[in-house]
Amino acid sequence: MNCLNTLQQVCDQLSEDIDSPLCREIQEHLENCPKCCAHVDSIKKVVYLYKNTKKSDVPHEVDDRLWKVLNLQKP
Amino acid sequence: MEISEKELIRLAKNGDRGAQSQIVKNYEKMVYNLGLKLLGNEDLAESVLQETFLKVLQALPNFKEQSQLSTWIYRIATNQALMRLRTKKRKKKSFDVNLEDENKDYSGFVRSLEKDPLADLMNNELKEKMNIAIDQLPENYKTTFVLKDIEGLALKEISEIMELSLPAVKSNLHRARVVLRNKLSEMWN
Repeated sequence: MNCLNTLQQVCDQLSEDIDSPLCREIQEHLENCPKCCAHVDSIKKVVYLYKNTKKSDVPHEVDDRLWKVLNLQKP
Repeated sequence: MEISEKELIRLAKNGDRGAQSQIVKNYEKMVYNLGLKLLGNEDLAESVLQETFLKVLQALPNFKEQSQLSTWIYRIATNQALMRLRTKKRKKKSFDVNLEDENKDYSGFVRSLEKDPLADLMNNELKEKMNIAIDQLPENYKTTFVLKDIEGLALKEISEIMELSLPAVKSNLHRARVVLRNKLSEMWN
């Protein structure tokens, strides 16, 4: 786990600057707490999994019906 | 020559059907996927797709351009999807979110992801499990998670779309992530 990136993400969620006292406190805690590190790491990996799922294309028949309903011509 | 989005909006507002078609084409995949993730059903996702763009075209002359076009369309699509979700009338299960499961060990789950998560993504069974886990999330958690972690919207945009405070969005997001982690971990073991 890259602690700096993780800390940045945690701070982003908290809308804090990475040098803020709160973020420094979080950093100190993460450095000394394997349990919190593992927690953040497992959450990060779940987010990564979902983020990388491929988006589905709109099926042709669904697409055709959409243009018909909207009464528009597909560009 | 490709025209700017601002010009596209101006033309579409003035009734230019080519510009309206271009807007639909630019955002149909986004809306369809949002519907699929929030409703977990292709037929309902199609209904959301049609209803969203009927509404977009109808409301376009009143679009104030105070937010990005994509955010505005997301807002309409999210509302349409949530209306559909509520009419699904699924039996609500009690939902206790245990954020502090002191005794649970997620190391095996993390190690299994570290093997080759992208190869695993090709596995349909895993995709199915991920979709089931999302589908079981409470409405607010699901919507926040899908908009942030799948669609990649900014927290501020999500707060506008869902009409929730920023702290509420952050809280929903964290809880959704923890619940999904717990659910996937259970499925893995």
